[in-house]
Amino acid sequence: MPDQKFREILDRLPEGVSVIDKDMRILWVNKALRDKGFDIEGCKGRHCHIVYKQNNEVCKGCPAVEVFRTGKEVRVTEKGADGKEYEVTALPVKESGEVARVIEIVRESQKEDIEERAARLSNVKCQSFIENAEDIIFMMNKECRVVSLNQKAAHSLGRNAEEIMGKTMHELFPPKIAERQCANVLKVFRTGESSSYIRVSEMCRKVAWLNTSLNPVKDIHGNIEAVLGISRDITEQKRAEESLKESEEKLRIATENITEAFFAKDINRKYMIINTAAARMVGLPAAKIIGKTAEQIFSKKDAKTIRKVDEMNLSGQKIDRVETVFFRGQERFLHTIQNPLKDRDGKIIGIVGTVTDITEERKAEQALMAEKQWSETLLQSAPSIMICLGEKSKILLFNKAAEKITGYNAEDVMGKSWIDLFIPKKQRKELYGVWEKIVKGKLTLHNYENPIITKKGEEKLIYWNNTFLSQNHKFRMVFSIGQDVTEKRWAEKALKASENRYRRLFESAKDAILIVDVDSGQIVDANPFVQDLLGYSHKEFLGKKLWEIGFLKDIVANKKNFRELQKKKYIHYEDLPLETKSGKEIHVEFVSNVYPINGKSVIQCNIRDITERHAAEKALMQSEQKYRSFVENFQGIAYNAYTNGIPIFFHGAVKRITGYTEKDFKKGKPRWDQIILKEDFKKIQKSWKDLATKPDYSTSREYRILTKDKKIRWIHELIRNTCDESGKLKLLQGTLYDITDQKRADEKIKESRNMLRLVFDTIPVRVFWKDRNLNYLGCNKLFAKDAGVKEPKDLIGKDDYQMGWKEQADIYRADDRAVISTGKEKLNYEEPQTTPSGEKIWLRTSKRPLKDPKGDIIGMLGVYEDITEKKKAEQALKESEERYRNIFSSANDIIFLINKKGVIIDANKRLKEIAGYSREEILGKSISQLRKIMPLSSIATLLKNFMKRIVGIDMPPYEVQLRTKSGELRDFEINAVALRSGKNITGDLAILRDTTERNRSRIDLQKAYESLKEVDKLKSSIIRDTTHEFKNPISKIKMISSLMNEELAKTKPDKKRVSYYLDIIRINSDRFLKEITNVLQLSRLQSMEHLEKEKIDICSIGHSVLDELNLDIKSKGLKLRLNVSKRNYLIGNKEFIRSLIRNLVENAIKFTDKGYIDITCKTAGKDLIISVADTGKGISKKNISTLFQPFTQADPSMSGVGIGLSICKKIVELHNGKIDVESKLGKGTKFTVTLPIKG
Amino acid sequence: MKKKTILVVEDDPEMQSIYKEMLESDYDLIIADNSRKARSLLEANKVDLMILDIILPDETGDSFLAHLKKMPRFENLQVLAITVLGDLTYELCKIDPKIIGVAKPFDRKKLLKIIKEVI
Repeated sequence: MPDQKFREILDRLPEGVSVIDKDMRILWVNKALRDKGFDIEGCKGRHCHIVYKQNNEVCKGCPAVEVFRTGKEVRVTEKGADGKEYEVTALPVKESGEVARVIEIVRESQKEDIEERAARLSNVKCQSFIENAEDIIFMMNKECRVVSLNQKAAHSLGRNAEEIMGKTMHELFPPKIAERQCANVLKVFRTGESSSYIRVSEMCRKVAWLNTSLNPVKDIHGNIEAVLGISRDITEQKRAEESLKESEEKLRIATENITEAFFAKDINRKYMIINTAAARMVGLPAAKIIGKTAEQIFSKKDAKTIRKVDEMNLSGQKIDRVETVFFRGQERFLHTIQNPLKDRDGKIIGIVGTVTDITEERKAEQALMAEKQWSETLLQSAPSIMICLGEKSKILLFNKAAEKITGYNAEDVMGKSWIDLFIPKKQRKELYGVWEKIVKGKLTLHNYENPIITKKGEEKLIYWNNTFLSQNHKFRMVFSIGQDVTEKRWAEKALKASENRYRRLFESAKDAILIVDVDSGQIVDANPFVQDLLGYSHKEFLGKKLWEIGFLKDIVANKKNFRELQKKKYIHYEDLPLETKSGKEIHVEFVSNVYPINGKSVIQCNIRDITERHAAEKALMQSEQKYRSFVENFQGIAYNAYTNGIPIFFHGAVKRITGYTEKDFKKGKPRWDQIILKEDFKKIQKSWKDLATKPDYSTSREYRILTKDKKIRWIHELIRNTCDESGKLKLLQGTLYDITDQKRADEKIKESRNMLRLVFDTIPVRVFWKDRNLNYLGCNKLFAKDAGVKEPKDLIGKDDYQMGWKEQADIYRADDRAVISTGKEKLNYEEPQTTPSGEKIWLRTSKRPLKDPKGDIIGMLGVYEDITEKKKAEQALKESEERYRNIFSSANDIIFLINKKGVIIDANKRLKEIAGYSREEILGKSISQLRKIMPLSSIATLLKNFMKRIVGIDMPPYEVQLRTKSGELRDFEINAVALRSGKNITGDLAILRDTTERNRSRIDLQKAYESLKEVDKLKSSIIRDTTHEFKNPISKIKMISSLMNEELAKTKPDKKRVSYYLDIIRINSDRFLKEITNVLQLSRLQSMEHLEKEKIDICSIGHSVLDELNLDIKSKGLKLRLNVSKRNYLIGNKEFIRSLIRNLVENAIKFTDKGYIDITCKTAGKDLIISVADTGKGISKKNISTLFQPFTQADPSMSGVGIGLSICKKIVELHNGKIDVESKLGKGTKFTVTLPIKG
Repeated sequence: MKKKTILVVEDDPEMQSIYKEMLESDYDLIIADNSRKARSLLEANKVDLMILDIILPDETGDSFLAHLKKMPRFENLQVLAITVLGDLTYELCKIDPKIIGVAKPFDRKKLLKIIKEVI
């Protein structure tokens, strides 16, 4: 242990110092080491605190061990646990010559050295890592040269590493790839950022996917020295990915394309996959369904059902069921198959399902079922046997009636041979033959009668009605309806028996007959023969009891015997000796029968003298009676005849059937064969022969007879011949039935059925019928074609929403429903239809309710025809008609349609508007009847033009006049066009244009033109006049001046003359000035619209004017009369009012040579009236009209331009007043001016 | 020598006095205000020349002339037609080519020269 002092020193050293003893125990460490966490004093074996990693054992090459061994100082450099390089110096501390302790001094080795070494070390490591790496590793410099690469990289290029080193990309790769790679590398150089990409490359001549990353390699200054590339071959991964994708795509396409709805859900019942069909069924796009659960999509109720099913699936069950759902208001049948989806390990990971909409199938099935049920019911409920026999007489159908009559169950006989099972043995052979013929089509037996054997062994006679069904001319089956006629035949047989008995009686007419009352035993009757035979009188018998009769004593001697008779109802004694009344013994056959007559039982005792066997006539009669009563109920005719056809008897409904009586036939008038129709007789001729020649021949035949009242009846005859004991033909026996009604009905049905079928398929009309739910039950071929299906049956069970015309389905169905619910027909109405090809056509439809025999409505029947063409034509016609009508009615002119006879057949509304006449007033009238509305001359023009045009001569427009309703005569220009139908002219279309206004304006224009011409003339004259007027004074002035000049040139000018000359000059100058002023004033006034107005005093103006003109008045010797009230004011223009008054007065002076001038000025109401009257020459009427026009001088000789009055008029107008003139030629003129005071 | 007689047909008194001033010293002047008076004066006097103002109060000068010239007696009557508008002279010449048109204004010398040429 170092001293305290040393310790302190050592503690201060930067180097770590530790002291270790011989046992490698660390005795002490200094602060530097303690600071580093090696506070390990006293820890044995833990001496390698810094350099060595091992703790509990002394490690190899431990410097301390070396020091202890050698006694010399050891220095090693080692990497510490912290990865740094340390230099460890171990120094021996000797005690008595031996190393007792070791001091280890640890210090970090020189920095640079260590880094270099470390770098070298890591390089080596890297190199080995790189060389062995699975990835392709390479390094490129800025020139894109390979500066380093690993084995794998070299291998991938198929060369040695040495070959590649220093090569550029372009030397190693095809140009395109090289360029791309260079670009990638250079990008890293440029940006300093790593990049990675996946590419397909060729590696070792194999195509491979490489995932390459390029990284910048920087030097210590941060400059990019090189680019390090690492490429990993991901081909396998990629392939796996690719194949997964492929199979997924395949699956997806498969699911998309299956028409069945297909879906898959995950374990949480969320839809993972749903194909288009399923999406369509749900009614949402697939994208909106995926990821959702049923609860988010379906109604609560449906979702609940779906959840239940799903849960069953998830618990491992498979579901296959049909359910009814409502989609958009329609009932649908869905067939759902839903299974759990399992992974490879069999764990349920979801659900897969398919849903098929089987509504159509269901409906069709139901319809079919219904139809089947229908026919089945009919079949089974029919009272007749209905059977269907196929090949080898196999039973295909066997109805209830057949079961009942034969006693067999249908199941027992189905598929078995009819002939084997039902035909009596003796007839089987024959029937096989018949069957053979039927199958070969050589024989058709529509009606046939044969016996059958029932299960009980009874023989029953069945009358058959057969229908042969064949396909492609090959026999398929026979459908037979049979009636049990056994009873009938039995009755016939009974009849025969009875008849035999009767005959016996007849043959041996010598029977004595006693009728005895059963109850009392009294004899009620006895035939005469009894009396003959026995010698007793009738009276002796009647009322006696049987046993009281002596000769019967031994037979029915007592009541006991009688009782026996009553019981047995029959006693027969073959040979009974009897004693007659006379005591004679005779031998009789005694037969006693009990039978009912009229509800009472009687005993008939037949006593026959068997010595001479004769039938008693009475008994015969009686028997016949009995027989008759039987046959009377018999609807047919029973007969016996000799083989030659001569009848022995005819019984039954002879009269009813033939119209002839039995007697007629017995007499042979007519003979039966005579009433048979000739053509039918030929048919049955052979059977006549057979009957006449073949023994025991029997046949049934049908033919027509002509009754007494010449009606034809159908007869069914059963006939056979009988032979006597020797086998010789003896008699013909038969029954005749009237089957007319049946035959007719048959024929009718057949006919109508055939007809119907034929009609049905050939009529150009579509026929269809629907059930109450408006599903199709059937249709004809044309309808099927329209509906776009091949066969009518393809339509069954469908509804209109599935048709091309689904657009109109609602309309159709509404009609159908109405027909079904009301039972009323809806006939011949038109409606549109969309065909399967999308075309729109028009139909004329009729719909009727379909009823079952009970009258209940079971559906509806529809019939329609395609009237598109018709409709189109009609529509086109309508449109064109409408178009023309529009033109017709909206034309601005009156238009008449006139037929060939000149009668107006139509007119448009302008007639009313322009001329005021209603159509009714004009229509139906001929042209010549238009006198009321047209002047005769116009009618004549119209007629003349009409006649020409109607024969085809085109006429130019012409003018007529029309008197309007208000009486105004107006001008019309008629432009008429012939109406043609083909080549024929059918009438006239007259267009009347009102030209009144046009004409008027033409006239006006003419007038205006005329007046313009006048004005023009006037203008020239005015110019002439004004020039004259202006020239005149100036000429005078000039001429006078020249005279004055001459005068003044004289040595002694005459002053007086000169003064006179000057006067004239002055006057003319004044006049000239005045004229010019006037002209200027007028032209000023003409352009004026308003005047400046002020309050002016008329009196003062008047006076000043008169002052100016006083001289003129006086020089002419005129008197002035003034009638002017003072203070007459006026709002007006002072200058012009003055000019007005002056002009009027001046005029008066000018045209008046003697008399006076009267001036009046007064107010009248709101007006001021000024009048100037004179006694001058007056103005002619002609001139008055032009009085106020400028430049018209009433007196051409008067000087002045004649514009004074024009000025006056204009001034008055500008003051809103008026000027009037009254004048009488030679008497004078009066001008009156009325001016509103307020201007 | 007896003075020749000139008929002046003129309604304007001023013009009448102008004619007088100009011609009275050399000719006998008779004056008519209107055509009616002119006709009667023509009937009553031997007139050597008629000076006619075309614009007259009762009749236009041309119609008066046309009427007058139809009469054989006045066929050769020399007429001076006084106008202010030259074109009228042309119209008058159609009636009688000998008619001489004189346009106002004129002076005495000119008028006398024309008259002297004619008569």
